[in-house]
Amino acid sequence: MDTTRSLPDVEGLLRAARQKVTEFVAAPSGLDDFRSRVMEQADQLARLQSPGTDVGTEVPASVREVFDRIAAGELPRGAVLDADSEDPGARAAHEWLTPRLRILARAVDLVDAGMSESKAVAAATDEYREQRTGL
Amino acid sequence: MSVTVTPDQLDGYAGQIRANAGSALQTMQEYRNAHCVDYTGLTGLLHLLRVPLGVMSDWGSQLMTAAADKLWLTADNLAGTAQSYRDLDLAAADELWRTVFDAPADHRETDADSPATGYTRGAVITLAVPAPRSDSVEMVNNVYSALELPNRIATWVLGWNPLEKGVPWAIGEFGQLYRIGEAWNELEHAFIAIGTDLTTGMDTLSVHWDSSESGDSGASAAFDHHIRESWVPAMNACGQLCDLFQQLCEQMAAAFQEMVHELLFILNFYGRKIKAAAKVLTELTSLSFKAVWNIKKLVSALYHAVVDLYELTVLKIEMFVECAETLVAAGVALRNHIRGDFEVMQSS
Repeated sequence: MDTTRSLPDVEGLLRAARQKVTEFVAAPSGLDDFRSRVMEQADQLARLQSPGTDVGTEVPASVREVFDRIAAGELPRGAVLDADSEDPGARAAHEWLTPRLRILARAVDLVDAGMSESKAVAAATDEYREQRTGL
Repeated sequence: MSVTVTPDQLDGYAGQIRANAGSALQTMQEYRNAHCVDYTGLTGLLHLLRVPLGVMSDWGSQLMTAAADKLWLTADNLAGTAQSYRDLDLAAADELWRTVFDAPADHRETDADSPATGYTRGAVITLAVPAPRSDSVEMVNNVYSALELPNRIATWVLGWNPLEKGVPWAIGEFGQLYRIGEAWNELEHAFIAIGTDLTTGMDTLSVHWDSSESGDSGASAAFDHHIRESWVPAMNACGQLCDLFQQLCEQMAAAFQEMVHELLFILNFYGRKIKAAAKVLTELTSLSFKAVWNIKKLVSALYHAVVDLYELTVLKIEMFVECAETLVAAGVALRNHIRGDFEVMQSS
């Protein structure tokens, strides 16, 4: 261990240490333009369109009725979101929607991997059935 | 050749030095142990700071130990010098009395008592305990609040959500970093107080000890240099390092705080968009691929923004570690200087 340093050496080290702290303070954190980058990415996302032709599943009348009650303010929108809604209609709508949403969400991955929408939805539906039945 | 010296004054200053070595530095050591390594709340990403903070504290401990040991030695050497002066004085008096007056063999000259005055009981070290802080509590609650709806929607639509538990968990109590910084600030003032106390005592001793005409500038000049040019600057340098540790902790806390602000921004920003996209789901007559695609892409964008933010924070933490290492390296050099570079003074 070096025990021969004189105080001027230590002063030099202190200056270097102070400089290091100054650099730490002044170093760009990446947060300076973080918000603008986030907004730019969001703009890019908004300009993107889902590829191909949209595939839809017609919403049954019972579920549409629940949607109408939400639109009329008779039901909170969150009622369909939660499985434990006290409203039987909302609960039924939740149960109808959830598996279909999961299938479509999985289909998004398959489309991103290069599959067409219709094939992706069909494949995701099969996959979901297999998971449910274990077959 | 003449030497002006009051040995009791040397003993008086030795007592003052011992008080700094004992009471003052011991108090600082206990304070450091209690407050510079208090990791309460340093969880999540802030957990990564525990190691460098511990290294900083270890440095402080070693420095205080080295300073205490060498101050004890300096005090002992000074007291030994006082005794040597007394012994020389007796021998000279014996010689004088025997030669001129044929004094009895058992005669010993005794000096009139001259108790040392003007010395302190060491630096007065009053270290304030940093107040508890809970800066992140409100922010974490805000994060939970901002996460709630996008989290429910994402979990409903996708079946899982990577942000659910990870985001609030990553936010530690950055207020604790301010507390640790405050503790280092207290230690900075304590080191400087010791330096000032040593200077004041040396000023008092200088009036009673002047051996500059004894050749080689004399022991008094050497000791004066030892105190004023080595010990006092060394204590000030210790204080400066503590100041740098404080700045480092405060800057890291501020950077982390900014990160949490940005986290809240993106949660709210994307939260609104995800909510709007989910609203569409309950307005459709046909459940469409596009509607789900929108939600999934927004959740994915939010997730990546959060990951970017974490990575930026980790980068800042890595810079903190690097900076702390530089400061500790300077501290080690300073400790070595205190521990081993005073030999020439100890022979005085």
